[in-house]
Amino acid sequence: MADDREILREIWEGRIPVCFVLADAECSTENPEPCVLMVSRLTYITLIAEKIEKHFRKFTAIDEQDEVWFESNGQALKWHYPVGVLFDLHMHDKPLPWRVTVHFKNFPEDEILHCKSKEVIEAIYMSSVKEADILKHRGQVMNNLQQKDHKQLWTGLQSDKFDQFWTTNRRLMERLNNDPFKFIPFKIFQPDKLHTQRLFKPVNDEGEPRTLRALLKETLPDIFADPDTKDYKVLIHGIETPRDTPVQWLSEHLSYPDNFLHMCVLPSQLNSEL
Amino acid sequence: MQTGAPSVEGHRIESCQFEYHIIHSASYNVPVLYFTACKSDGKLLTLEEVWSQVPGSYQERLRHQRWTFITQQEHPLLGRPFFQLHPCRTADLMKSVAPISKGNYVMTWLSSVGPVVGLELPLAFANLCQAR
Repeated sequence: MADDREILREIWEGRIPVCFVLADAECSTENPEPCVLMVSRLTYITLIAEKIEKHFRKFTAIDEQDEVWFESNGQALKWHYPVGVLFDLHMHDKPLPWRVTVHFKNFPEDEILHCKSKEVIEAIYMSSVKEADILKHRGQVMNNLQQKDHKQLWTGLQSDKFDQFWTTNRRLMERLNNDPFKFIPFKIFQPDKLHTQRLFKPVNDEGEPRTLRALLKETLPDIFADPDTKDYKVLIHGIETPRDTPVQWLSEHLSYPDNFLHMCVLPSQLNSEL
Repeated sequence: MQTGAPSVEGHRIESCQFEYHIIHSASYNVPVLYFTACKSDGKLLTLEEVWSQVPGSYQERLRHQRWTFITQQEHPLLGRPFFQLHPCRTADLMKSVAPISKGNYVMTWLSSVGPVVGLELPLAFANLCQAR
């Protein structure tokens, strides 16, 4: 069970300064002011869309069928990944604040999921929590949770209430009968690639804990043929994670609220050696 | 697999093109049905339109379990938005039909869930699978 509360708290409080600017082509007035916010790494960008939409409403003509979407460096942001993952993937090591372009027109519906209400985000979020519990506990904890527990998780995340969220999440992160998780729910993200997801057990046949090093080698054998390679960085919540960390510990402490461990694998920047 | 399903909107009948994919979910260890549908002008069907096409006999269930039934998800191999029939009850469904079906697992499953989203399999297709 996750008992290092301070670590959970630190992760919960991770924030990214984001400067939202309206797409030039969509401005109906001159010089719309940008909207600058400290955004939680754990949230979904569409959860704060209302605030941003309100800010830009007076600078652009929005009609009923328009749907807000976000872009960074020419790529539509996949809002169903947590903000921290999007940032690490697109912006790691780049100067802050993160500049995100806001669009209301020409929704790229063949690239990103529609998100016309918060119910859509909640559905995606809950299906992820459910899948993670299948992996960790064969779905046993989710089966025992009630509708009000589901709501508590979602409301806790949505309104940034650590205690409310962890009251329920602690049960999802528990070891049943002191056994490690059956499999570790994780996804690995790389720039311009589909994410990778595999079944991975946190202990080997002898019951010894397996580390991040083993997970990387098994999941991405081409990149991590030498699991200690310095050519790539592995980031979780923007932190370069020591590769000898047991994956069970990572899963319990560094998982995102959807109960998945989201990791970004990025090539180490060559110019940092110059 | 592609099939056309007519959608009736007032007096206008519009034809839609559906595309179905079956993908194995390692987490649930079951097949999952993904699909996408576009209208003749190339625009994708919205989630609301997909819901409204679900046959009447499932509408009651849809009303209660809207968000755990069909939603939009990222296609795991294409990275594009597709609709997904949720896999969380597939294992239970298959357990309940197992005693009466000795046939092909995927065929049994697909003919059970497909009609919910416009995928009707001809009997000849099932016979063909059985014969093999």
